[in-house]
Amino acid sequence: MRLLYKIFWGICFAVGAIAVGERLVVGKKLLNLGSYVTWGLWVSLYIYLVGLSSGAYIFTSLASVFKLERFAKLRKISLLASLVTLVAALVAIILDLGHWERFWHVFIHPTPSSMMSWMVWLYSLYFLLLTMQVFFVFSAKAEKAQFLFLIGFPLAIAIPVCGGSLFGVIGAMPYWHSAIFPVLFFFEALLSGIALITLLSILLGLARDDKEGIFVILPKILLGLLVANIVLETGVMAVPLWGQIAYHIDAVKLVLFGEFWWVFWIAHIGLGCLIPLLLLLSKTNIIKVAVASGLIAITFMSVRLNIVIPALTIPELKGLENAFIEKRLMFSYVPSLHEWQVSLFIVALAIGLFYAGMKFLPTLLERRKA
Amino acid sequence: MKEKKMKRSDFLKLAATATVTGAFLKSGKTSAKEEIGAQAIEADLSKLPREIVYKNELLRMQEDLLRALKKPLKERKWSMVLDLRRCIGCSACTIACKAENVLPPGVVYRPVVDEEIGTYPKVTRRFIPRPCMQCENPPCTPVCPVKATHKREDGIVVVDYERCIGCRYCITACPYNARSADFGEVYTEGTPIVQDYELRPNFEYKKEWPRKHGVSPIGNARKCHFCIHRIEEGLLPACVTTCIGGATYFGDNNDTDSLVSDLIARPNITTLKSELGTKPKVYYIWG
Repeated sequence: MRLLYKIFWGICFAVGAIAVGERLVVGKKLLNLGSYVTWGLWVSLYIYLVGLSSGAYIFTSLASVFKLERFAKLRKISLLASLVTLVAALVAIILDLGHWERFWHVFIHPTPSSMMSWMVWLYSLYFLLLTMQVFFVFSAKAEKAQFLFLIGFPLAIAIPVCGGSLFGVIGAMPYWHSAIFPVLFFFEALLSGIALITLLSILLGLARDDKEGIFVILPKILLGLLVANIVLETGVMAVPLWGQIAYHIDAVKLVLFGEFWWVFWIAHIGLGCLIPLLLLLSKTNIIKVAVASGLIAITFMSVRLNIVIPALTIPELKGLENAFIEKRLMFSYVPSLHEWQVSLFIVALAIGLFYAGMKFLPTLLERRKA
Repeated sequence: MKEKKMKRSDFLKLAATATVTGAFLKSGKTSAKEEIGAQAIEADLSKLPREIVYKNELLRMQEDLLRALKKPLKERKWSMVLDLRRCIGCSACTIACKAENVLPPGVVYRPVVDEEIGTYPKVTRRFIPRPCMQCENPPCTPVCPVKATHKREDGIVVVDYERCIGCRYCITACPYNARSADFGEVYTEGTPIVQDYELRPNFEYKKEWPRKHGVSPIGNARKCHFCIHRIEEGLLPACVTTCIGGATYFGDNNDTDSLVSDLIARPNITTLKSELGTKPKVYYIWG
């Protein structure tokens, strides 16, 4: 069975790697993006992965800072998951840049007025911190990692808040331009990140001997966060609808009743909210918790797609959609096969790195110590 | 009859002047390289009778432009006025801009929005060219993470192609959808021969930009820049000179004698989405 998994992973990785090669050689011609819908699958994947990373990290750092020792055994999984999802997110966004070879310009031309600048600076610090902490935790120098959590905790909070602000400050997009976005991103990161840790720790067998009662508390935390997210999202959707101003509700209507309504109703509400809600509300067992957390963590991508794409498919000026008709001047978007392939590579990369980290890091660092 | 004759002679004079000016403009472009630049054109336009210059809007704008070029950069305020009553929706400006800046597929600086008004049988159409608004308070510049896009002293919002990382954050921030992303395509790709004219360099921002894979402006955000490379050589933007309805005006709004400042001072002038406070320097005359 394990071999089958490995073969499947290998195929996914190889298929994706071919597309990454194409991206580097051909450029961005194979993307279905354009001048109007200028961000798509890769940017969505990027904010999804960053949410998972920062959410998992906030939880672990919170447990460490407040010395909640019962969660200590999740630390390795959590830190490694945070690191690999961050690395995967950075790969996604670097491939999305028109000139990825110039990413260092962000450091030599600092622009504090840009949320994107802040994001890059925070991620760089976060990446360094995470790498050090993974090194310390896996080489049994937990006390050093503990100290770094004091810096990492506020940093990890700042990351989803900054991510939400990146969209929230864009006044041109009424769907994004909301003070609730930074708060929403924080809660979304926390929910998806904790769901990921729960799923991974169950898959890695940590629930078998649960003396600390972690897997009694985690479902409750997930349930609380899920309810909080549903309330916040309802606010995001309902408030503009209540206002009835077309400019504010166009994108919301698109999410709810547009061509891709099923991404919201089936993937997000059905699989990502209702089923987990029912599973977590009923008498829980470890399988139910695994299914609920898995569904939340995986289907959260639909939330990200519904944040990034619909806002961009609304013309800023009425009639612009017919003003100059070309493939890349359309207010519609469906990811190309190439984009899916690269996304597959990124996900496979994260899984591969996590597996390799869990398997080889302890041995490598022990050998180094010896 | 006499009046008619006068008009004819005026017309002939104007035609001759336009030809002469055209020749000068051409020679001006060549002589720019020899650092003579706009001087030659200026000298000759000033010799023309004032009446003729004032009757021909293109000549007047040409003269306004040359006068503005004598001033320091920060004292100029380049503005554009679009008289929608005159626009016939021919899209000649869009195509001229495409040709002037060698714009690839997916990149358009000045589309013309075609709006249908009324209910059949009482219907009419309105055409709204939409260049970059060159906002006084541009929302696209502060979001750039590398300061690649910024407002110049004369108010034109530009993109530093060599600094831009291609994140396209500025594209999302523009409330007029006036920015494009260059994905590196050409129109004749997939045909037996990729045509040379698509691969020739453009001269935006007074530099030569060859169209090569991985080389800017491929991968960059792109936008209308009022044809800086032309105006600083004493030529009006391509969209102005090609407008067959004479609907596009261009000039220095800091110069009270310029044609655009006359038009901007009228009560029927407006801007797009003025409620946003972006203070566009592209104005519209609706009716």
